[in-house]
Amino acid sequence: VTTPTELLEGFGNELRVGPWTATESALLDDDFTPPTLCAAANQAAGETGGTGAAAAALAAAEEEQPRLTIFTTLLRDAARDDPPAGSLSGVPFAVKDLFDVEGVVTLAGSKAKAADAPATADATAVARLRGAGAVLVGATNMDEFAYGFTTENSHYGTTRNPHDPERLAGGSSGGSAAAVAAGIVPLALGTDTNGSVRVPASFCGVYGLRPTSGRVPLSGATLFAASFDAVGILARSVGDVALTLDVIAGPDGIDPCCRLTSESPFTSFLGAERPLRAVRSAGELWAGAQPHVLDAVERVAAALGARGALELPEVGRARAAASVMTAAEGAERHQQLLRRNPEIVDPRVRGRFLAGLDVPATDYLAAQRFRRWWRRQVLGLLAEVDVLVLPTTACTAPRLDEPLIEIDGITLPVGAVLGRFTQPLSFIGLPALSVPVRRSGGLPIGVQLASRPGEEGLLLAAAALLEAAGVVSP
Amino acid sequence: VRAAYERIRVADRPEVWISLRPEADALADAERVDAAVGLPLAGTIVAVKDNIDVAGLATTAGCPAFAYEPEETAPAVKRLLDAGAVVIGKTNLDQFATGLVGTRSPYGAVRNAWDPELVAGGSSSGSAVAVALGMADIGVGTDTAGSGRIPAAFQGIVGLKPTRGTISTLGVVPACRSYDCVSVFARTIAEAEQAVALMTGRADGDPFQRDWPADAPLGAPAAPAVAVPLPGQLGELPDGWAEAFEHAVGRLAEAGARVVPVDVSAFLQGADLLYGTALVAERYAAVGAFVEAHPGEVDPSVAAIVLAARDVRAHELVRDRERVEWTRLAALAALAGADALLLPTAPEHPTIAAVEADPLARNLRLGRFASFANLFDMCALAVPASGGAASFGVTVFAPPFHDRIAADIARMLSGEPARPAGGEPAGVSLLVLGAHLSGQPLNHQLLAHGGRFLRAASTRPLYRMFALDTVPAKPGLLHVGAAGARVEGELWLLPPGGLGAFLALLPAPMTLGAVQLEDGTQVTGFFCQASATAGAADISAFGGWRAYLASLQTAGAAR
Repeated sequence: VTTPTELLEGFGNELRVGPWTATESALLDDDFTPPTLCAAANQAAGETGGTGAAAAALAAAEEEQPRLTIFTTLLRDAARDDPPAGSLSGVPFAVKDLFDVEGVVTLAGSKAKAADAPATADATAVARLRGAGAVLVGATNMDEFAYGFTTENSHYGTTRNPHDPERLAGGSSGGSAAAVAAGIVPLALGTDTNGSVRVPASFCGVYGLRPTSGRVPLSGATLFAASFDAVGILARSVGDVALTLDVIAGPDGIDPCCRLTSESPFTSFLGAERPLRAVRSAGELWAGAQPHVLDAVERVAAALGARGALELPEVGRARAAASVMTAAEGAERHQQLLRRNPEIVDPRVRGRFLAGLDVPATDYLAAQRFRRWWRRQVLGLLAEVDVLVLPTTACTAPRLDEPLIEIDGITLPVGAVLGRFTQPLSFIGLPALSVPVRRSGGLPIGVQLASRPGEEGLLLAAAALLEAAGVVSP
Repeated sequence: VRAAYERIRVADRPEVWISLRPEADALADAERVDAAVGLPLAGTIVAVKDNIDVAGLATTAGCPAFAYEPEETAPAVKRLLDAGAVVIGKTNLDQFATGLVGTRSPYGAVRNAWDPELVAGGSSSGSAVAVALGMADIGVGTDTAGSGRIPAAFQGIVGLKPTRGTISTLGVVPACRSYDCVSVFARTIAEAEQAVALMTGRADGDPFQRDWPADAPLGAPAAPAVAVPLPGQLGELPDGWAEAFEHAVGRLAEAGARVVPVDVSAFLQGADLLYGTALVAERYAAVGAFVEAHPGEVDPSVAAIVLAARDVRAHELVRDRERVEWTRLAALAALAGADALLLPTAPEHPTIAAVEADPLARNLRLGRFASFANLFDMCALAVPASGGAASFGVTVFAPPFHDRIAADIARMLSGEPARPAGGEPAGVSLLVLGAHLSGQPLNHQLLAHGGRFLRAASTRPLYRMFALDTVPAKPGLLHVGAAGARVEGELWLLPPGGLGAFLALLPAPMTLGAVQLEDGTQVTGFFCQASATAGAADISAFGGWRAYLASLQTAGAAR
């Protein structure tokens, strides 16, 4: 296990990599080719179990780390013992560094936690994946305490986009998305509070599922804003998303908010012949995205036979209310640190938290009241809709040195607008899946599919259809 | 109506009412109701707490400067009017429903119905006294910290606070909006339940309203488990109150309840969270701007509580909400599966003078056994339990949507009969004949799915019953027509959602179908596939499964 101290030395702020990779790089196989990157395909072919895939993943991780800054911890012994049998036997995976992993310090992207004691048990989602035979190879980089959409981290470095290292991977689950996009692991866990799984999925060109709030236990994950936090999945095939969700979903008796149960496995929705009522978004969840993004949304909507367009009301208020609640809940969680030692917090994140400490309670109450109202409005509008198709992000991955973006003629800081299309959906706990659209000669872009609470199966059915039709691919 | 106005004149309690409609207007309403047919509340007189809108009467919330003329009647009251009730006026309250004493009002401290030196309790003080003194049949109140229960105890009447959100709070001046409930006072449980049932339902645009779930239980089991505090946990009580509580517990046990002492400390902690924490920010959100703008026109105790919440930060509210949530989980875990919790409604009954001497502390103390209910999302039914101690009452608490379980257990205390015929909740009638009968091995399935025992019942003589070779042993019923016999069983009521889950458990060769009862009605009942009766003994001659089982025992004993 790489200690946090080693990593700190190795990564630095300027993304130069020190002795850590110099000593390890000799072990790398130059002719390394990514393993078959689909756990579902492996399973179908009967090629499961063994340590080969995990060993290959570790090697790839070591190789890519200097270029992309994906991992904060690597479990170098992961490929030593044969994994248990199970639906994911031998499949390597990575988790955002806010999930507890037994024996490893949970950093949550923060230097303040580097001296914490190692976790004494796996987070539920991690334990369930390991129980199904999957092999954890490492913990991935993130915005500090998950408060951001860029995975720029002053302690552990900025995660680069595997499609173009001069561009952002997105965040806050940027390390997990990049690990999947770079072909290091076929699947990874992230968390999504306002879009932190879907935004990096869009920029990195992978699938990113935010399940319904209450679907996957958050036990053992470092919370950010508990009203919206959800464990999410990043993967390179729809089948892998479904397979992973089947393993990690369902109450664990620890997380009191995780109550959803499902009657049939999510994999049963793949290729299911059922007509889907799809509709694309309009209004504030359409405008503001760049033309090529809207092209991609149109293409996906057309492939799903979408008819008409649906405009949700008061989307601006939904974003504002979500932001107020996020700031207040995040500030509450870290207020001791913010008061005791604010300098240790990444300056990008520190300002957001300090602003959160100052939100009046009455604003929070107003936001919650609005949420009740809005949820009811939206659920009413979605009653006859299986899949709402909308952008995931307004643009493709921005350059690292270009932190501004133009939306509707107004130039805005990138970090402030990346949640534009994702935040309103998680605000009321809806399930949403970003599917990757590959653009010829260009960067990938995600298109978001959303549905009613508890209907992840419809999203997977739609995505499987799109995948089979070749409309989406990592 | 005339009798109600006569009692108002005789009682000479002007502080009960903030506005009273002219008798002639109420009589005109009553005549209109009399002309209609089949209205369930025809002849019922209603008093409405003055923080709830009734078109034509000002809403003051106990503060003259706050008064406004509502254009519409609150949906909760509108539903009572639609059912034939006549509203005669608006009643006094602790200002902005902030208090449990009934003294914080410029319209006068409300005196107890039976002893004018004592407080009426609040905040729904006027509505409770109006019902106790016969000025009204139904008193509509609100309940955030206990305002619908404390006055019930002090007046010796019933106070029903249903599951939060089931009655719309539209048209109600908020006190602590996330936790506010509309509640009902009545002289009997049956009347309170009927009013609440009529007031329940959707209201357009109410974000806090909750639908009644299809699988909500319809009644308590015959021997419900009722949690009570461990010895000593109630703390200091007035003379005779501890004995009165023991007496109530004893009555429950006599009536067949299983009394389970549990650690209630998490509930008592919960009571402190409503006022002692950042949750008071809800009160500032509700009326803070008004209180700021009207210094000197607000009761000093109320203003102190509201204004103290002005600078509460959102993160503090988040922290305390989380504390509430963890305390709630600890409290529910302590219940250990009991159907309900029994506590005294109030810990003491102060005089008006005592409250005026120390308004904040006295008030806080009154909520000790009451204020957790809405924080913990529980329903609560307060009933008198004087047991020799005047103005002593107890409250039955149950988890959300278990209101009917709470009511059944409260009936065991009050001795009120089970619901009158026709007053049963909506559900599906199911005739059970064998293993699902009371006391038989599968009876727990009916209870687990919210079932309610209705009565013993027999079929018309159209069926034959066979002893099937299943585990556990079951009878199988076949319809044979003229050659049939009469079979005895039990009629149960299942919630629609519960019936679905129950059906999923149905093993082969059992089936469900329509069965004719002796009284000519047709209900759903158990049958079996005809093939399953091949080689099975025809036990129709016994007339019922229990008689057949008894014959086996006799035979076994003889052998």
